Amino acid sequence: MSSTRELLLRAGGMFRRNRTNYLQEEINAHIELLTADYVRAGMNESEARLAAKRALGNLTLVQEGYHEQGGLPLLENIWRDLKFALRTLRRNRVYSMSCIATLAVGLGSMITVLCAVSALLWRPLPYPQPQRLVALSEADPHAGRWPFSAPDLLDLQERSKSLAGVAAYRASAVAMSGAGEPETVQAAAVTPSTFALFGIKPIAGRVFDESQRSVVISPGLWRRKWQMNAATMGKAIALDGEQYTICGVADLPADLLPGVDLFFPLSPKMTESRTAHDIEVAGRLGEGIAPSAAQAELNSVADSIARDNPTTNSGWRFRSMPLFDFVLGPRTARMVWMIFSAVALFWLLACANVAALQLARSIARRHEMSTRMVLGANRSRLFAQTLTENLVLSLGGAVIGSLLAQYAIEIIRRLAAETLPRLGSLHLDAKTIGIAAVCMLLSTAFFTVLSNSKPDFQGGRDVSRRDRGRDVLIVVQVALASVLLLGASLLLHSFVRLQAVDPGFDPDKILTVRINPSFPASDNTRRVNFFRQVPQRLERLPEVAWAGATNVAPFSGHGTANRFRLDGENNQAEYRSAGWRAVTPNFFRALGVPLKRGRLFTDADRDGSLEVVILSESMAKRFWPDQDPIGKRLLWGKSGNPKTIVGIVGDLRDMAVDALPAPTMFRPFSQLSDAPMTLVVRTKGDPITAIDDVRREIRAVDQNAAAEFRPLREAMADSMLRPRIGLTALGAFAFIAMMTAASGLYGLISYRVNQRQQEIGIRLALGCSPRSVRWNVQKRCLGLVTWGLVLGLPIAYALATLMRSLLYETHPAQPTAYALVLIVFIAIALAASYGPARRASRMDPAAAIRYE
Amino acid sequence: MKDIKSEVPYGTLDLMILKTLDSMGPLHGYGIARRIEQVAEGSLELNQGTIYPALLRIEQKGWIRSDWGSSENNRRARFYSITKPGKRQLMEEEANWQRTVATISRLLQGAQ
Amino acid sequence: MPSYLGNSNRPIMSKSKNDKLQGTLTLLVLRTLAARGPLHGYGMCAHVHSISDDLLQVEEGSLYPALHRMEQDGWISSKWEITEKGRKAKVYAITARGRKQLADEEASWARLTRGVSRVLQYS
Repeated sequence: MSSTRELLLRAGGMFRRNRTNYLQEEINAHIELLTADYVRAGMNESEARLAAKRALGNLTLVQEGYHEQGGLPLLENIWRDLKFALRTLRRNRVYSMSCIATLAVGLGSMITVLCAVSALLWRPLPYPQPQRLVALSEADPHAGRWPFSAPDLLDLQERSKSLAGVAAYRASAVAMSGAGEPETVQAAAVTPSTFALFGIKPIAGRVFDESQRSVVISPGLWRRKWQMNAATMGKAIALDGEQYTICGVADLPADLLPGVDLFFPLSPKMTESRTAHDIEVAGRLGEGIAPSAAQAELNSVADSIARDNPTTNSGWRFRSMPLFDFVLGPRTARMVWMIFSAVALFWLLACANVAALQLARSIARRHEMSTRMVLGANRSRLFAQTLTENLVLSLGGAVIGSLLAQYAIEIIRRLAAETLPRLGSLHLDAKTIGIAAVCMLLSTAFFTVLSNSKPDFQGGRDVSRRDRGRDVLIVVQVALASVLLLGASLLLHSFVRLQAVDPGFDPDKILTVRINPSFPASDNTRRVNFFRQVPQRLERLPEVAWAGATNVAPFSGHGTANRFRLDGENNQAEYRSAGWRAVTPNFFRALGVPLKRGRLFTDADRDGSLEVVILSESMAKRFWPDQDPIGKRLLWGKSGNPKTIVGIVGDLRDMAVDALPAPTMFRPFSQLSDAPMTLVVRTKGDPITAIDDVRREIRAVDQNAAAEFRPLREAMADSMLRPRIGLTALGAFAFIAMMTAASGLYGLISYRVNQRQQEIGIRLALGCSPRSVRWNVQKRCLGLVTWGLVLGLPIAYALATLMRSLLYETHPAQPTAYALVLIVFIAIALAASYGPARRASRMDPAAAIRYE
Repeated sequence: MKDIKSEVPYGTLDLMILKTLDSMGPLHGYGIARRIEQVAEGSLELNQGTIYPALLRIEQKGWIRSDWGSSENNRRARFYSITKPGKRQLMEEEANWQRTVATISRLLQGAQ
Repeated sequence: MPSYLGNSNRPIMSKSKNDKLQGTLTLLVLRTLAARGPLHGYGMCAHVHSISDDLLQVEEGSLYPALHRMEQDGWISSKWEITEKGRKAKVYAITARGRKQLADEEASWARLTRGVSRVLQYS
């Protein structure tokens, strides 16, 4: 008890500077009193005072004892070190600022990216027992991944024992009316079991069961449309012209259904087609069921279904993968790891940079250090002082770094939450901060050991060893920076390639309109009429050149595909597979897809007339090599109905920019209506300005149709989002890395020139030309950079092979990328050495020789 | 021989300070020193300065407290007084001291 | 000056029961050697320990430096001897100067106890 109290008082005592004054005052009083007593006893004043002082003993010792008792000597040492460190660092402002800034950027990016890794890769899915959740899919005989068809799903549910529950959903956009302006809402048909599978409880109202025509809305929609009014439950709304009742408010997994605001019941029927694969399925493995056991069972179920339905299902398999992997997607994970590696490299570089700065300083301070050692400072005190100094620097870096990270995280969360819902939960967590703190302490220890390695009293050998140390650190920095720069330039090459991709049409001046008529999707005649009338009316507008429609919104990231056989192949023959699109006659003109042979569709191609098909060029070449397919027929889908080929158009990539143009069959919308549809409108001017007129024309045909406008350029840019994020991130790090390495180079070369002043002076005096002096300096810098590249580029190549899947039409050994790195670093070497070289060549020989 | 005084060992000083404050009430540093010297009748040599670090230490332990007051000659002086824990401590220390002195005395005599 | 007093300015943060006896070590050693004749270090510890009914414990850590100091001051002398168990041990004996010092120390101890006792009695 009393010793704790004493400790606290002593700790407090360290900050009470007036303690000694108290003592002085007390002692003075003591002397006065004693003197007075002595005087009373008969001494004279001055004798008495002297005797009093004698009686009090050695005052210095008293003060020292008092002082030591009053504080904590060890803590006071630390406190003194800290003050000393702050003072020294304040005196060397440039040095401390550079260290802190470099460490702050390094630690800041480290923390940010670790947070992203933590949010994306470490955090489990936010549902009960997430490790038991799997994503299920079908695989065709060529191992292509497909969603389920309704009968396959029902069979699976019936026959599988290893799945404790199954959720099925189908996302689509619907036209919602009956609540303010009609609008297109992202919706999903989900089986009622979905709520239970993900452990989701309604926020208000209740969830639906299969029998009801009721919908569950998202909290966001509830707030936006009904101001979170409890009376919303029971209200009626129309979705694609059909009446539904709102029954509850709930959040469905944003990871699976990003941006979906409306959920209505999905009830798969046995009577649906087995070949219509459009239902996404997630499942929960039964308690204690291993994923491998589940997969084995899925295989046998698939086999039994295939036995029962040989025409549709032979060769098809079911596959399960952890839902986590499905949600994240392999490319995102790889991208995150790539950025993380970049940051880790950059962190190493930052450490090397700071270490080089410290070495430089320790060389400059070697006189101070050895003087102090000679004067008797013990080594552990000097060590403690350097450690304190480095801790102050690292802490400064860490504090500023975490502020930067906080800021960066805020931005990322805002920007990326929509594309990657899991990033919405990005925040600084304890784990991340812990890792960053460990990094910081490790680097501090590294710096301290490095700059404390035995100051040597002669100085000579020691300095040359440290000089070599600086060279090594610079080479390491260049190597690390070159790795980053190569990564960035490969991504840049890939990005340029992507930008240069010819989509097969002219994407400028095109407005896309995702459109949902208000009448039921089953009303085929009305739909066909609607998509005949609307494009015709639009083409009458002065600002519109052509208008058409397609069932696949360009660059939406997905498409539709179907199987077929060639005419004359028998029933046993393998199916072939290709993409297909339902389009209106002027779709090709609107998008600017060139007709290569034959004809385009006309209004005469309608339901009941000859069933026709147009092929993309690559499709024609692949399946009718060296033949003219025009007039030939293909057998469409499972039904095997023959379609006559009437034309061939240019290839187009309408799914994603980096997807190869797939062989595609085009069918007239009038013969194969499909929902939903997207209008493609080629305008004469800026597509944005046409929006109002286009909307008016659509409303004129269907007052309650929901329409969503988007210039095609924008959709294209979105489809390049991931490559762009990667390039931006890596590019930014590469740039900072280069700047850091360049500053390191500059510092070192500058220092060398100063150090060799005398030698350079003698050379100049002996008639060496300034040019050769300049070249000598620059040669040295180029030499260091060369070593860095020799070390860095092989590592860069090795790492580049790991990120191959992120590269589009770019080989990890892409020569142009290496050339870019070389050029940049030569430029850096020359730029960094230019100043020092010039200074060296302009040195006054006489002054230089006198130096020192 | 008469001039020789025994210097006061460390722990013993604490004991005497506590005892003095306990029986005399609040005193300033000088008062304590003078009182101890008087009572010991010259058999103890008190280096008067050493009393101040000791006072600080005892105060930190919570056995005494101090307040500013004015001395007989109207100077500002710090007055010390014993606290409750101090009284408990004093009893313990006193017993301890007695026991120790007894032991050592026995040792000195018994060994003779 | 009596040697057991040391520097009373030295702060000691924690205080065990025996701290105030540190200064009495010389006294105890000299007294023991005077009474029992030559002894090695361990014998001294054992003697003090037994005669004080386990109340006093002499730490070897402080005993040997003290012995060294006392030998330098000429109060004790030492020589190597072989113990009955055949081990080499240093045996200490009190000198004439040591006996004189012992007298001083004993007088000083008596004065101290008298002084403190008076303070405890008459305060």
